[in-house]
Amino acid sequence: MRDRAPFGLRLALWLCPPEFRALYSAEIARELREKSSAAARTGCVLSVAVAGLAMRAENVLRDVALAVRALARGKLFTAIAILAIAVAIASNVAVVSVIEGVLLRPLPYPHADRLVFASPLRTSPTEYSYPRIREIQARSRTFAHVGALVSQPATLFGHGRPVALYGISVTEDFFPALGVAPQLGRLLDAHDRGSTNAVISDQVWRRYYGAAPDALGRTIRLDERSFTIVGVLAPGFRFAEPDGLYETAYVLPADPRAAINGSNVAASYDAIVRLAGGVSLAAARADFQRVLEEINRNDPSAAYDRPAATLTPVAESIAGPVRPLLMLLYFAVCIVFVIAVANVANIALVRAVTRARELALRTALGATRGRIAAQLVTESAVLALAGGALGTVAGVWAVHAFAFAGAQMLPRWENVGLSTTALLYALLLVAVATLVTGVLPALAIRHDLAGVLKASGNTDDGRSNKRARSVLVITEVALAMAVVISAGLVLRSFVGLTNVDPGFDARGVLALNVNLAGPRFDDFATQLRVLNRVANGLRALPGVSAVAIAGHLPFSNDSSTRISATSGVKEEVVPINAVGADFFRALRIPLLRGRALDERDRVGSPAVAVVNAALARKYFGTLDVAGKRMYSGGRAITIVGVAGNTRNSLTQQVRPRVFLPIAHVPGYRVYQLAVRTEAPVSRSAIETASAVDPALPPPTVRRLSDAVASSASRSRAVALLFGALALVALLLSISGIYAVTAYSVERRTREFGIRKAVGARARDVVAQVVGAALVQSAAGIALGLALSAAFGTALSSLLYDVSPLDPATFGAAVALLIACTIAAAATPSVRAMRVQPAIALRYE
Amino acid sequence: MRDPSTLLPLMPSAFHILLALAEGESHGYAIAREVEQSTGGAMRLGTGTLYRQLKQMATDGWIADTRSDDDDALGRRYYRLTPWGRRIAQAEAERLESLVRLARARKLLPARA
Repeated sequence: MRDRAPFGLRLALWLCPPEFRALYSAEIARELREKSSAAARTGCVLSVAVAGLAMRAENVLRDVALAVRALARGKLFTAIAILAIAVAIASNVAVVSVIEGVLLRPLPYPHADRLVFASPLRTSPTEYSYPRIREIQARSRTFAHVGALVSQPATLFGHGRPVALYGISVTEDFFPALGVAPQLGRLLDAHDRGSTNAVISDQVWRRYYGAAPDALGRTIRLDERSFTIVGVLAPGFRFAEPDGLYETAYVLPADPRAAINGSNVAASYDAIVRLAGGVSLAAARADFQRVLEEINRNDPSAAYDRPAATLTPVAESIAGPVRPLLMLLYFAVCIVFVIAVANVANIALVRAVTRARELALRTALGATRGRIAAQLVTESAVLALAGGALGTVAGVWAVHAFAFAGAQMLPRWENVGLSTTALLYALLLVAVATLVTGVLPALAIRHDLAGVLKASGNTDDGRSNKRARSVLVITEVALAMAVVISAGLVLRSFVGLTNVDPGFDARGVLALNVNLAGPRFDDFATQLRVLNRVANGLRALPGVSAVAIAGHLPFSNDSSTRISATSGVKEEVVPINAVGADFFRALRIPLLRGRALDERDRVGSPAVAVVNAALARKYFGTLDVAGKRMYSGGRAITIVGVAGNTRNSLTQQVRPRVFLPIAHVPGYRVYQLAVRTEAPVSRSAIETASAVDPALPPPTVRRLSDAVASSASRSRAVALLFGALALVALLLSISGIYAVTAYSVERRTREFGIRKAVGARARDVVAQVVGAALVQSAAGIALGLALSAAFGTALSSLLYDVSPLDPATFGAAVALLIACTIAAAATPSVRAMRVQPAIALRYE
Repeated sequence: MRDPSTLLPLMPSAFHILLALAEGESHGYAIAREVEQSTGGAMRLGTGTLYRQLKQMATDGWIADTRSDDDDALGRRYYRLTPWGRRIAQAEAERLESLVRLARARKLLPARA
């Protein structure tokens, strides 16, 4: 007779619950030995294993049923706990989904880690030329492909009304650099250089060519030039720019002739480089420096600023600027999760003590310590899973809510959705929540059976248990404090931004984009004539009080020139606005000195300018500069007036600025018209403008006030997100303080009754309860202040004109937390106050 | 006492274990053999199923451990029917009997001689 059962049986028995094992393992082992055939023995072992698993499953189901019943009894606790965990998991799921879509998911190109932007090609305005791109490619030893692109908006003709489309021109190495494939036909290569072949997007193919395979070989008319379609891009194709991925309606081959010397606006190339396989970024950077040095030696006019020359990985360039924000958000939702778990653990601890009798009774009836612990952990698991499920569903909604807030500030937004990673992360959080909120009370329950059963209704609650609860509440308050302060800072900075004066009155002004594309409008005189006809048509609309033509209006992309106050001095770059008559009146920009630009400033009239106050002060030290001269490119310009300062973005400081007559600045392709109106005229404005010339695509219209508001949109989104998280953190802490106070009040009912009976006033009782809660919160508040002071600088990139240590915000947060503590402690203390001595003394 | 009819119908394996124990006290392996013999081999209880059932029945009070403190030298546990277990077995037998009566009335079985 062997002492030990065979391995297979021991394994099968191990699957069975311990009680079962203790009862029958000897008997089963004996029975197994009596089986004659191997098949019978295998069947025996298998049947034990199956029965073991079934019994385990039964136990779990029984625990779950018990847990659900126990949780259903404590409705308030259950609701608070599930909600707390749900909210915490929802915000985590949302933020992790965003982080995955924006930061973690690879760019949609094969081996995207080898793609880099070569930056000096972007910073030097005269050096973007096509030959230079080819030269860099030829000289480099580490670049597999140097692709280059330039934006090439155009008007599509031949499909109903002309349509303004956005597209790009690319060099022959552009597609090889990205490494993408077409869905139909072919992409552009060296043979297409300077040709009239074109590749169209999936969208254009579907919309204008009915997704027909025979679209290949057909023509597409852009700006009245005809191109032959040779391929269709894959659906969802996007090209990379340093700040994000963008859609394009078509891709044209770059024209090398138009690109030389940067004389043509269409020649400012962005370069995207694919590094050869196995090349490190450091090696590529060194190689790039060497290439630029060689170019500088051969062509002194190149003058590349080598120290500033950098290669930036495309993914880093796009994600880098938003990483700090997303990391901060992640940090904040982690804190919310910790607060939620601390909160639930706290309430569970309180319940474990009040349930000591129930649990002791179960122990007396034969439940082992392990079974009781298993039941408590099961209760937590049921809570955490319910919260997790609710939170995941809410997280999906939260992702969409983020879409609303985040679309304007996040690159690669289109990539954000609920991801597997986020779901796995939610599961992990559920597991952590289960452990922390289940194991803590399991450790806290007393096993001194007799003591618990002997004690009357009021069981003694151990000192360590009390301390654990205090630590949890202090942690909650401290973390909530940190989140509230962060939210306060970003909120203050947002409010500050919305109060910034842009220097003009955007209310009631429509901005019309008029696209004068194509050879038909190549002639500047024609452009001005068409623009004036559009402007006159708009002036005739009812309710319109002023119309002004401009190269661009405030709060859109700026252009610039170089000026100096005296001849022969080094000229500095300043932003310009090319504007027509009525510009200052239409935007209500105050004219401080001299005259505005008007009809006198025609093509060929003397060079004049209006400058803003900042420029007058900086270069002349006075506002009285009307009649003085400044110089641009060595050419004298007479200053005829001084205007008030305007901004081009709420987040930027006021800069010196020059207003030039529109008739003196040729070269724009898209003009903006400002229409000041008292009536809603968007639709009639579009019709009026379109009627002027059949080759004119319908203009796009936007309220100028929207453009101003969207300049604060990032700040608003950040304030919204942090505000929401702070609210959640605050609510969780309040419920934590409430639960602990309510518990202690309930336990002291008898004491309060006696004190009232011997003459204590209700006010004293309330003061004592609230005071105890305040002492606890004070520790949390102090800790939270220290945390915020230590980590506040991490926020500074999100703040405008607000110090991360802003005393007003810190003070307000302290006041808020104190008020919340008093509110949370007030309800239970009012209950304490109402206790009738007689009832309290019977409270056993 | 409770009404056993809420527990009916019993699982066949449970009924057979109760039937085997109606003879007197017995241990697991003997019960399985008895069930197999009395059914002519039609009902075979797997080892795991058998002991799982026994434990459940003991927990629910249908059967009782006869010598809870000192098992025999072979590590066997002996069980007997409790009065409650006997009533359950009776109730199941009556339920089956009434079904058989119904089957005779409908001429599915020959009338008794």
